[in-house]
Amino acid sequence: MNPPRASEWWLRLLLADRDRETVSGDLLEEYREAVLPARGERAARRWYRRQVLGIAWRSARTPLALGALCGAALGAWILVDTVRQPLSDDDALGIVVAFAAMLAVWAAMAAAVAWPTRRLGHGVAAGLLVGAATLLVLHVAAIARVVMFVDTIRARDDWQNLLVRYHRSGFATLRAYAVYEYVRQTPLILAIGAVGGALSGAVGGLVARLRPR
Amino acid sequence: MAEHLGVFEQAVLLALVHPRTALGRQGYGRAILNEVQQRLDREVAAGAVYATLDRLERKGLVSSHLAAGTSVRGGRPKRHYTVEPKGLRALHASRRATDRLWAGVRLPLKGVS
Repeated sequence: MNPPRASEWWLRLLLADRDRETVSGDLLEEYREAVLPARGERAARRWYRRQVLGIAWRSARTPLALGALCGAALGAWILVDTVRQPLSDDDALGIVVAFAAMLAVWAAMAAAVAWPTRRLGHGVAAGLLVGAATLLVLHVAAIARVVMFVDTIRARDDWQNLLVRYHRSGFATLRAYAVYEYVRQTPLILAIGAVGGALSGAVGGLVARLRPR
Repeated sequence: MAEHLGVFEQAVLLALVHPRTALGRQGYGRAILNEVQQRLDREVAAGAVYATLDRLERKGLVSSHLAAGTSVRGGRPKRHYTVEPKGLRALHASRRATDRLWAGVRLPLKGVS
């Protein structure tokens, strides 16, 4: 009797080369010899999935924390910048430079995570998580900026289209409408972070893979 | 100076130094998982044990070697762990620290009202 096939595949993907056979073998042995006879098939399959989720969570914690830290730093920067110059528009060159720097930081973080295992896939997964976490926290900071400074920043040139949409929307306040628009964009922001992070992570994973032994 | 060990690290090292079961005496991942669960009297995530073993090995407190697998594990190899002298020193230091912490305290504890 075998454990859930998808969980086993995922487990082998998560583990470093060094541990792939030994750890998956341990779990298979425990599953067959102890958990399955004692708890029955359904509970044993649940147990196996829980073990794999636990290992996945342990792998994901560091990139998620690094991404959240990166997002918090950027979020703090946009809040401070808004206090200093509330009416200055985001200039295109500044955004490109900031995004390029962020991609480089994500690649470096992914390389650090994939360094011990030398696995390209670990770099991609770490980059994906770092990117998504960074943009999610940054997006929360952007929503906080809207809530705190909407009465000032509504005069910015790059807010005029949103103001037009607000007047057509039927929302009672601009603050509520702006927050609604930002929240609605969250899946797109997460997707951009995940894709950008995965691409950066591929670079970082490649660096980790090609490092001298 | 000896390494400072957390409770879980102590449980993993003690599982290797003083196993209570026949399986535990084999000192590989699954055996350690079972020993730790017995010692802590609760279900423990396998990932927590592997992460701890990995950390202890990087610190030089345990070492490992591969051995052949059995059919029940699909022929996959086992990684057997051994406590190094540095690991034993760390365990001794942890025990002394715990004893010092509890010195003079009489059980059961009485609350201050």
